Amino acid sequence: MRDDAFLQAELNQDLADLKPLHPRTVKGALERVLEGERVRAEEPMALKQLSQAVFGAQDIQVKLSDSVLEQILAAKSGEALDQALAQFAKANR
Amino acid sequence: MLPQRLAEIETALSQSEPPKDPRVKQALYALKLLTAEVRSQNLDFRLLRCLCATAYRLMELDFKRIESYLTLVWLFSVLREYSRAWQILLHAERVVPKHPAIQAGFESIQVLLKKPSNFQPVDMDAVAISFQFSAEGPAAELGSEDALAWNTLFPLLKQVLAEAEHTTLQARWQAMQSAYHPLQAQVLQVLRTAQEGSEHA
Repeated sequence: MRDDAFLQAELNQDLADLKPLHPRTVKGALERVLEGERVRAEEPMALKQLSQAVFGAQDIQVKLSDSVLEQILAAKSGEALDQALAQFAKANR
Repeated sequence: MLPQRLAEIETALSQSEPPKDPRVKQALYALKLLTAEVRSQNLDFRLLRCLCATAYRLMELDFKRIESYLTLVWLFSVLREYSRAWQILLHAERVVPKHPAIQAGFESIQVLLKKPSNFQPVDMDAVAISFQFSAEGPAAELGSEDALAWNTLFPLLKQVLAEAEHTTLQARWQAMQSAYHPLQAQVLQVLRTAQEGSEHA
């Protein structure tokens, strides 16, 4: 029990020490991790509930062709990505 | 998540103003579709990259929308980078109009960090894989600064793993995971670089 309390206190302190981080500063690092595919991704239940609350819980039949997928991944500018997302949205209307 | 929190999020979403910019509307729709698809495709990395790109695009178009930050929080959480997820939420708290999903995010991450069951076999595997390297092997592959860090850290890590009981090891791993500690960053960086060096050799 003492260990639990100690770990909890340590965790609270660690969290209190964390500073806000602008997402842009970690964009490259996040992209590299996702490109590397070295880690195993697993959706935690607690976050799944939150994600479902915001983006919808129902199963959707998503139409995503390889070409649209490649277009999204290859987009080098915001405008190019907008166009790819427009294709994606059109296919799912 | 508490039912009360869920109800608050639903209310906030139903009261939020629909986007005027069609590109924002489109990005939001894409996030919804991609989130559903990535879940049905066992978190396929190509889809995770699409989600990442779309979230950042949405942020460019309208930095006050909660959805882009929540997607990044979700992404960091599926990668077990909980302290990064926490930091993104802290940023969102400052720039997004008050939204119950932010508080729900903080609560969800706290739940994840408190749970001992959070130690998945994959984490232990990551440690085991790293220890296939000898102390000399990766050092030769790395720059002098990294090599120094590796040579300092390797014996320490080895000692910890050799001496630790299973539960102690779990506690140590949790303590390391619970915050983005400078030592954690250093250890992970060294292990990752060493792994890459070995694979390219």
